[in-house]
Amino acid sequence: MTTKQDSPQSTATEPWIVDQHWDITYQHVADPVAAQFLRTMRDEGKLTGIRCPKCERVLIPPRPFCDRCFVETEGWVDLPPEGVIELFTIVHLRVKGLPDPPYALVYVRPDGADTAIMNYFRGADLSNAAEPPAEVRIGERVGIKFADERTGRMTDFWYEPLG
Amino acid sequence: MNSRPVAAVGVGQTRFTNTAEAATYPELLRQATQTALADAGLGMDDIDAVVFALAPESLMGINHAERWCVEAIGAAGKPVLRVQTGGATGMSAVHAGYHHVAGGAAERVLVVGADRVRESGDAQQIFNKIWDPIYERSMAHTTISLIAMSASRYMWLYNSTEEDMARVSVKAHKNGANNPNAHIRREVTIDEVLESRYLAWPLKLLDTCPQSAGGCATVLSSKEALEPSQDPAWISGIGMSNDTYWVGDRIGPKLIYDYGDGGALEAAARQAYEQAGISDPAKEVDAVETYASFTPVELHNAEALGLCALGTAGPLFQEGFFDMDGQIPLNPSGGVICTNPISVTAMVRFVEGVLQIRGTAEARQVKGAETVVTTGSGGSHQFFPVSVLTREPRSAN
Amino acid sequence: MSDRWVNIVGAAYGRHDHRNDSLEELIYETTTEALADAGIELEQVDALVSAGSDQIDGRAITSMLSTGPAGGDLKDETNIASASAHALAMGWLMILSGQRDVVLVTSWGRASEGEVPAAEHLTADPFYDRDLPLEDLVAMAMQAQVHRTQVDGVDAAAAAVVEKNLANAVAAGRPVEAVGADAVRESPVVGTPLRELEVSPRCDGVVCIVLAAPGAVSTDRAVAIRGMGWASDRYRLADRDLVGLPHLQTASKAAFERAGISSVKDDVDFFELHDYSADAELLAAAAIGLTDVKSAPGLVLEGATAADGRWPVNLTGGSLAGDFPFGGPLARVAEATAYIRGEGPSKTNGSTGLVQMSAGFAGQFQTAVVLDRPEEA
Repeated sequence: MTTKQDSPQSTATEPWIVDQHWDITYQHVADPVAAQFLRTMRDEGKLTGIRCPKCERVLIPPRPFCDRCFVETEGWVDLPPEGVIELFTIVHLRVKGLPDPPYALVYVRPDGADTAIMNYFRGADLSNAAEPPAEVRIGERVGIKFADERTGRMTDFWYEPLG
Repeated sequence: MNSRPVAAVGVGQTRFTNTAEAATYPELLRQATQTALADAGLGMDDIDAVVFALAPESLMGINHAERWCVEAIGAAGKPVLRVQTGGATGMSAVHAGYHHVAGGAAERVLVVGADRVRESGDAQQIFNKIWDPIYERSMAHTTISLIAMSASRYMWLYNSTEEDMARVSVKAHKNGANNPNAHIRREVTIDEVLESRYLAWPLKLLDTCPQSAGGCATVLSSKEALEPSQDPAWISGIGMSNDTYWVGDRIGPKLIYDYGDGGALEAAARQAYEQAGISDPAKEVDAVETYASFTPVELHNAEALGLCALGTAGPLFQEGFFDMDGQIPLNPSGGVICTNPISVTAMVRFVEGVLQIRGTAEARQVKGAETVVTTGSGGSHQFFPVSVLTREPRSAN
Repeated sequence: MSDRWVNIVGAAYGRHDHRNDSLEELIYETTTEALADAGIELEQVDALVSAGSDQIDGRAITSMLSTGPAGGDLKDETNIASASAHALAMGWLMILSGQRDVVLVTSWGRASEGEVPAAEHLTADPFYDRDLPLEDLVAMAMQAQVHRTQVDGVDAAAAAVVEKNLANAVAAGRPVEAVGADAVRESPVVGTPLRELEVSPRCDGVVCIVLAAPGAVSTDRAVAIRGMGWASDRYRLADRDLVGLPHLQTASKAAFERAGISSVKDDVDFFELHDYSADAELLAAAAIGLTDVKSAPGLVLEGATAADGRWPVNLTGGSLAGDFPFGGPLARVAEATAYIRGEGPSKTNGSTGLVQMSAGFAGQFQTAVVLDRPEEA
C-alpha cells in the first residue's frame, strides 16, 4: 500500500499540509420541559423530574415525552437534594478544549426518580488514579449541591459526599 | 421471512495505521474498492449500486464527504447512498447493501468506507459534541468516560476486576500481532496493561482502542449473480436494535437493559440468530468478531451474544475460553482494541468474518469456522447491528 | 425485482419559519401525526430510517438524539446522511427485502438553528475549493449561468416558474404572497444570473412517511411506490453536465422502468420537481423526459405546467414557496401522497405522480419516485 510519501506522482518527501477550520455557531432551542427544569433549578435551587403517565417512571433529565412509551409526559415531581450513585468514572485524560483532569463524572438517581442524571462530583480526593475514593462508588449516597449564584446551566449544581 | 439469499463475494482492507502515515482519504477509499473488486473478480461496471460508510465526518474534516469522494468509490453515475450510525456505521452499511440485493434492486453492491480518525486532532474533542446540548454537553464527557461508566458498573454487578479487563487486552494484542492489517501489532502482558496510565477509571491506556486510519470494502452479490471463481460467505441472518440515548435511564428499578450489560446487542443478536436458524449460540457459533473499542465491552458482549451467562465472561477469559485455541475465539483479528478506523470498524468485523468463513484468515484463522457472528456498536453504546455469516446459506428452521 | 411493492400508509410534515421548540419536540410531533395519519400505534413499527445532517443539526452523531423522538427506540434504526430521498430508498428496500413490514422514514432540517451556508461550504474539497466561498447558492447560480448561456428564453421562463409556483402556494393556503413575473425579474441578483425570488427560501421543518408492505397495515388510503431510482453525478461542478443532468436521466429511467411506465408524457399525471432554483425545475422537467432542454422554457410559458395544465408541476408551490434544508425534498412525497389520496389542498386529474428530489451542490444526487394508487402498482 502506498503512503503519500512514496507516491510516484510527487517528488516531495515531506507531507503537504493544508489547515482548515470548522466554525459554525448554533443556537439550540430547548424544549419547554428542559427550560422549566433549568428555570426551577436556577430560581429555586432544586431538581425536578417529570412523570410518564403510561410507564409511570419519574424521568430526569426531564423531557416532553417518554421515549419508551411515546406519549407526552405530565406532572412535575420535586426531588430532594439527595440520591444514589448509579454510574461513575474518574477522568484522568487531558483533551483539548475540556477541563484539566482529574474530575469525577457521575450519574446520580435522586430519591424518588427512576432514572439518573449526570454531573460532576466534587469534594473527593481523586488523586489516586488506581483507586477511586470510597465516596465515589455505585450505591453510595450523595448530596446534590447548588451554586449560590446560578445562571440556569447544568453546571449550577453538582454532587458531593453526604454529611 | 424469506429474503433472497445474499453473499459477500469480495473483500478489501488497507493496512490500518496512524493518520499521519496514511494515504489521503479518497486514496484509501480507492484502494479498498479496488482490492474488494479484484477479490471478487469484478470491475466497477459489474456493480449496480454503492453504499458508503462514513461516521462523523467531523473526524476527517469534509462535511458530507460522500459528495467529494463519489468518484473514488466508482459511484459517479450510479445509485449511491451514505450511512451514518456512529461506530455502527460499517455494519449498518453492510445491512443497507444487503437490503439492496435482497430487495431485488441490485444484483451486486459495493459497500465501502474509510477513515482518518485523527485528521482533526484528538477524536475525543469531536466526541464531546455528540451529547445532548442542554443536559450533557456542558460536562467534559467523551466516549472514554461513557464506557468507563459501563465498566465500573459491570464490575459492581458481577465482582469483575481490572484483571478481567486486562486479560481481554492481552488476548486482543496477541491476536492483533497475527494480523498484518492491524494498526497495533505488539503483544502486551497483564502487568503492562494494569500499569498503563488511567484515562478514566477503570479504563487504562491499554484497555483502549487506537485512533486509526484506513479503508475497507466488501462486494455483496445475489445467488443468481455469483461467478464460479468467487467464494461466497452467506449472510444468513441480520438483526439490529438500539437502546434509548439516555444512559441515565439504563439503571434503576424500571430499566430495560442495565448499562453494565451488553444492552440492546442481545435483541439484535436474537433476531440474527433466529434468521440463521441458530438456537444455541454457545454451541453453534465457531468464531466471533464483535465491536468492542474498550476491553470491558468484550466481556459483556460475549454474554449479550449468548456465548455465556451474565457475569461469567471474566472467569471464562481466565480459562482461555475465548482464546484462539479456546472454545469460541473472540476477535481473532485483534478486534477494535488493535484497530479502530471508526467509519469502517464494524465493516472490518464483517470482512474478517468473511475471511474466517473462506478459510483465508492465515495466521488468525479459526479452523473449520462455518458460522461466524459479527457485530457493530455506535452512539452512546446505543446502536447494535449484527450479521451472521455462514459457509452454506441457512435460514430459520 | 420482486412482486412485492411498498405502500405509503401515512405521512405528515410541517414547515415553519422558526418555532420555540426543540428539534426533538418537532420530530416527536410530526412522527405522532404520521402515526395517527396511518392509524397505527408505534408498536406496529419495525424500523426507523432517519435522515439527518450532523452539521446542520449541530450534533456530531445527530441520530443519537433523534432516534427517540422519531419513535425508533428499541427498534431497528439506520440513519442515512447523504439525502432525505435516500432514506426513502432505504425504507423501500428494507420492505422489498422482506426483512421489515412497517418502516418510518423521517427527516428534518432547521435553517434557524445553525448556519446552513457554512455547513454547505464545509462540503467543499479542502484542497482546491474550501478557500473559496463555494456553497449552495454559488453552485446553483453557476448551473443557472450555464443553462441560460446554452438555452434561449430561460430568463422569462424562470420568472414564469416562480410566478406559477407562488400562485399555486397561495391557492394551497401556504403563508406566501403571489408575485408577478416582472417583480421576479426586478428582484435583486443574488448570484448571477439568479435573482432573489428565483431561489428557494429556507425555513425549518420535519417530515415523516410511514411505509408498509401491502396488507401489513389496514388502510384504504394507501399510496403505492411503483418504482424508485437514484444516482449521483461527479463532485466537481466543472466535470458535470449541469444542464443535461445525466444522473437524473439515469435515476428517472430506473424509476419509470420499475414502475412499468413507457411514456412520461402520457402516463404521468403530475410532477413534483425539486425547484431549489427556478432553473432547476426547468432542467429537471427535461432530464426526466417530459420535454427537452430547449423546449422546457416554452412549455412553461404556454402554461402546460400550470396547476390546470396538461402536466402540472409543483402543485402546492414547491420549494420556491419555501423549504427546509436536507429533509425538505422528502416533504414533497408527503404532498404528492395527499394529492393521490384526493386530500390536501390540490387535486390532480390522474393518480400517477413523479416526485424528483435532489441533494448536494446543483443537485449532485438525484432521486425519482413514481407514486400511484395501489391498484396501479
